[in-house]
Amino acid sequence: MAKIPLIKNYINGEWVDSESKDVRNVYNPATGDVIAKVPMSTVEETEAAIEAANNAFDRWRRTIPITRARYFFEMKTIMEEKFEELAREIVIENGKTIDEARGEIRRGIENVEVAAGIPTLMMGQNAEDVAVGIDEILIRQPLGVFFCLAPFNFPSMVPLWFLPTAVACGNTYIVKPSPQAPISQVKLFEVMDEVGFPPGVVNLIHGDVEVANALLDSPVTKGVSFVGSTPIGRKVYERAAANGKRAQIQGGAKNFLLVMPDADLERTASALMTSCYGCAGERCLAGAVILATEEIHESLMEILLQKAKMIRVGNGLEEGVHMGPVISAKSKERILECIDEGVKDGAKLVLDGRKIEVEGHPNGFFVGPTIFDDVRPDMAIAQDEIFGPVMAVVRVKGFDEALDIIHANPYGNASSIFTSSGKWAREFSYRVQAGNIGINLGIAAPVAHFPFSGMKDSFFGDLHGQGQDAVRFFTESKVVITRWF
Amino acid sequence: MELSTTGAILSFALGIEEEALSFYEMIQSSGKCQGWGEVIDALCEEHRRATRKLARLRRESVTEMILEPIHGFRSDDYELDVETSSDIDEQGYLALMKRIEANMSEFLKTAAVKTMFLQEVSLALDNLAKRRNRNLRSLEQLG
Repeated sequence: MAKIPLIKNYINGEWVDSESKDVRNVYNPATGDVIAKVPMSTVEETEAAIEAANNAFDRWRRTIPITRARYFFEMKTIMEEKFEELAREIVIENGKTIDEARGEIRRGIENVEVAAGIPTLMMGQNAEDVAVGIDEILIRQPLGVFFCLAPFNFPSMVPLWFLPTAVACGNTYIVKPSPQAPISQVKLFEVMDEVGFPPGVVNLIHGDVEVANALLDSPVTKGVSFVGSTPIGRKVYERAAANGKRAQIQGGAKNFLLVMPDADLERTASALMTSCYGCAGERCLAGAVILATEEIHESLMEILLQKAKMIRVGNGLEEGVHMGPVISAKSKERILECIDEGVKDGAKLVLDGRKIEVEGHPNGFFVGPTIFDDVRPDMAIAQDEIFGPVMAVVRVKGFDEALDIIHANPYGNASSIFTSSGKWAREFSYRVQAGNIGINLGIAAPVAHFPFSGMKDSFFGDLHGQGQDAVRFFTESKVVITRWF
Repeated sequence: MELSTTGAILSFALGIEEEALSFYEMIQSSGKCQGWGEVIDALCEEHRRATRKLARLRRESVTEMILEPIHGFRSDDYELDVETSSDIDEQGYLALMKRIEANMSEFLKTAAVKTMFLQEVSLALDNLAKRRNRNLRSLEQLG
């Protein structure tokens, strides 16, 4: 039997073993096999990463932006060359399908491409004659060491929302991946190692709460980007604020999708499939609750059921599989409990994914597409984040009732409307309390040059990841007022 | 195999392109069809380009993570059979080449229809199908 590899940290341009005795298993969710062991690094090791990043900062910030940008051109080139390999690693540790993994790598590369435009993106502003003979300029300067605490669901892409922009701006960086899916970051750091970033500019440290707290409590680190659940996100936000750090915290979600009577039902249903079952529902932008207006409820249910039954669940490495497993046995158990609770609360289970069996994968963490109808807005399945392939359909009388339901929920990550009316579409985007709005789209995922928004309990902070928000987050705005005698 | 996702279609297309390319390169290096040297060279170049195009399409166009199951499209119907015996003559090779181009044209045409929801993929596949058809017509002129 092949030896299970122990994952290393990448600190100061070197791959180093952790001395920690606390080691966890990394599973292939499709087979249940242990594929790697990941160390829960020590506080001392975390401090070594911080020190390396801090030591590298001064020289890196003095590297001219066009030179810094060239590192990212090179990174893109290598990522394109290793595209399939990078995508396969995501599938093996996360479980999503190979097409979804390809999409994830592409989105990651797009962030690298945007960062390569840093010479213009971080340009400041100027104004002549703000007073007689006095000019004023604004310059953007990097701050120092930033870090991200990454989730398991997009193990490759999420750190790329932050690292390229931060580093291109002249900061140095530390990534702490999720212990459940750390391999994709190892692969990306192999790419960055090949690119040849100066030692200490990019660092990788594996671990859990201890590592996160050491990063948050360090007087050296300047800011944190977090993607994960709302309860943990809130703690990270509070701790970062208490330590005077910048923070952009993307928390959980419960995304509502409103289907108006004038929607194109066939195409809407396809979009709803993507939204609710893509990545096995483990997306912060995943659709969770379908608000179906009474007029179309019955016809929509018919199409949804028909389409959901066609979804082929299996090992994401097999081309042609539509939906892979969820991340862990624990996660599967939790999702099944949520479904049980929905049944107990009186919702009508019209498609039951609890007992799905995938041939040749008896130990995989699979949950089949699940649909609940006749869901009431106060039920737990309509209120709480499930993070699995569960669709809850709530019947609504019309637009205003739908909006009331959406607004009663504490989350505000994403929301969509399906309609052929421009008036309703505008009204929806104008009024709805969510950060990422879809008009006839199930997954309102902002591209790399737009901020990844979010509000209410789905986001804490003010500047989001990606786009100009990210440039502002990773730089200090310094104003210089000049008068010459 | 059921080709039920965009990735599955593009991966299969890539596979048969590579197979066809190896076949044409084998003829090119065997020197058995010297009378058609230019045609074979052009076919090799054409399939090399298509291979690059398909690999790029698979990398760049599966961005929307669209979960749109595709049905009624199986790879078994389009597998290339390029097995040759040692005594195959020029006409035998020609017949094989025509079969390859016709088969690929048919596959790519159907694939373009099946991937209509990803416009860029669909257009590229349709374009490749047309080029295979053009190859077929050129081969038909040879005999």
